[in-house]
Amino acid sequence: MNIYDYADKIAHRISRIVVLTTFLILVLIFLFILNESLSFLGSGFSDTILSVSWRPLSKNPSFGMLPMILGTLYIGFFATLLALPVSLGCASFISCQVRGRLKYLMLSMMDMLAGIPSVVYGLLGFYTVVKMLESTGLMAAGESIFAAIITLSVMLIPYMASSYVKAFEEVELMYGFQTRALGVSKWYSMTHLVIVHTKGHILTGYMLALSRALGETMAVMMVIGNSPILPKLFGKGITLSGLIALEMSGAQLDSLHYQSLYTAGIILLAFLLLINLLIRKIESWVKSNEI
Amino acid sequence: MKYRRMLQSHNYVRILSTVAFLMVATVISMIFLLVFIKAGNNLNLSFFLEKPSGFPIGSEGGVFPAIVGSLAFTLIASVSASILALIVALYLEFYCSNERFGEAIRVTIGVIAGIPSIILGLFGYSFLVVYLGFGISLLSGGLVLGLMIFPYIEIKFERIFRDVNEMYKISTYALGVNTGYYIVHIILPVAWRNMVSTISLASSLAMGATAPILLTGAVFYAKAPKSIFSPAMALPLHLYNLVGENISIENAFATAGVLLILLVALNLITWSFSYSGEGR
Repeated sequence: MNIYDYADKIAHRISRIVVLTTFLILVLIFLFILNESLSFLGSGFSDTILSVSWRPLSKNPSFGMLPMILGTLYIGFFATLLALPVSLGCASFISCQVRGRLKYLMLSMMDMLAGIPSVVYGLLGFYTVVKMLESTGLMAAGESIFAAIITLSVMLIPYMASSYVKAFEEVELMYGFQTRALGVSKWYSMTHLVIVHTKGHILTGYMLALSRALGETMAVMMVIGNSPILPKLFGKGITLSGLIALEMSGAQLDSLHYQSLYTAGIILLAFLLLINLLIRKIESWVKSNEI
Repeated sequence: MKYRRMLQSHNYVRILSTVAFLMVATVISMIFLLVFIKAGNNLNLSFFLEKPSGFPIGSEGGVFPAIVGSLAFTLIASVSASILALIVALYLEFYCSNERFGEAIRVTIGVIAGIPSIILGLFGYSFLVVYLGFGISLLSGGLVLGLMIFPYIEIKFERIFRDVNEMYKISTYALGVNTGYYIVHIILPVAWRNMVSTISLASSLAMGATAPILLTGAVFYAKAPKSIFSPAMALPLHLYNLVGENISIENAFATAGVLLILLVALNLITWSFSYSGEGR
C-alpha cells in the first residue's frame, strides 16, 4: 500500500459522508417548511384558505389564498403559451438558417439572456409595458396581469429557445445526412421531421419553462400591482411567491400570518413537484417510444 | 389537393419562424439599448464609488456598498456551492459503486433544482436566520444562494467528469492506476478550464438572484459589510427598491447598467475559458 491508496480510502469515506448531506439538506428544507405550515393548518383557520378574502391582521382573520393560487396559474399558463410559438420559431430559424461561428455566438447570447436577472426584466417591463398601458388610457394604473404575462414571456423565450435548439440539433445529427442525400430542403425536414420527432422534448421544455414561470418572483412582482383580488386580464393581481416576498418582512415571528406564508410556500411547492413528476413521466414515455 | 397543401406548409413555417426570430432579435437589442441609453449620464465613475444618499435614500449618490455586498454574497455562494458540488460529482462519477444509491442522489439534486428560489429563501429564514441564529447576514444570504446554484454546478461538473473519464478510463484501468491518483493527476488538469467556466456562469446566476437574499441577507440600506455576520446591500434588491418605492427611475436604470456590466464581465470569463479550452 502506498500513500495514494491510503488517501484514496480516506477520500472515499469523507466524500460518502458529504454526499449524504445533500439528502440531509432536502429533508431539512421540507421539514422546516412543513413544520411552520402544519401549525397553521392545525389552527382552525385552515378552511379559509379557499376563500377570496386575505385579511391576515384583522381581529377576525381570514387567509383566503384563492386569488394568489389562481393568479399564479393564470400568469404561468398564459405566459408560457405566448412564449411557446415564438421560441419554437426562433429555434427553428437558428437551426435552419444560421451556421458556424454565428450560430455559436447566438447560442451563447441566448444563454447570457437567460442569465439576465429577473429584476432587470421587471424594470424594463415596468418602464415599457406598464407605461404603455397607462398611456392608452384603458386603465388608471398600468400594473396588471397583462403586463406580467408579457414580461414573463419575454423572460422565458431565450430559455425555451436554447433548449429547443439543442433538441433540434440531436435530430439533425441522426437524420441530417439522409435527408440531404434525398434532396429534402432544410425547412421541409424541419416541418415534417424534426418538429414531429421532438414533440416529447418540446413538451418537457414547455413544462420546465412553466415550472420556472410559476416560481418566478421579482419580475412579476414589479409589474402586477400586488392586490389580492381574483385575476382578470386587465386588472391587478398577485402571485404566491410575490405574496411571500412582500409580506414576509412584515410578519411577526411565529404568528399566524407568518405561518400562513409558509403554507403559501407549501402550495407553490406542491404545484412544482407535480410538474416535476409529470416531466419525469413524459421523459420515460419518450424514451420507451423512441426507435 | 390535400397533399399539395401539406407539401407547401413548410413555406408558411419558414415565414413565421423568420418573423419570430426577427421579433426576438429586436426585443433583445432593445433591452440592451434601453438600459444603457437610460442609464447614460448617470452611469459614471462616481456612481460606482459613492454610497447612496439624498432623501428618500437612493435618489442621489452611487451604489458602492451594494456592489461590495453583491460581490461578497456571490463569493460566499460560489465557494460553498462549488466545494459541495465538486465532492458530490467526484463521488458519483468515480467512487459510487451502488447504482441505486447514485440514482437516488441524482433525483435528490433534481428535486433541489426544481425548488423555486423564494422557497429556498423561506427555508433559509427559518433554518439559518432563526434556528441557527446567524441573523440577517452575509453568511445566511450567501449560503442560501449557494444552495440555489449547487444543483446547477453539480450537474455540469458530473457531465464534464464523465466526458474526461470516457477518454482515459480504459488506459488507467489497464495500467492499474489508483482512483485518487487518477483524479488528481489526470482528471483535474484536463477538466479545470471547463470547471472554472461553469463556476463563473453559476456565480452570474447568484449575483442576479433577489428572492433568496430578500428574506435572509439583504437590507434596504447598510454600509459596506465588515464581517460575514453583518447584513449588506445587494444590487438587485437596491434596484427593486428604487423602482418599487418609486424613488428614482434614472438611478434604477444606472443600477441595472452596473449589474449588466458585472454580468457581462463574468460571461466573458466563462467564454474565454471554455473557448480556449476547445482550441487546445
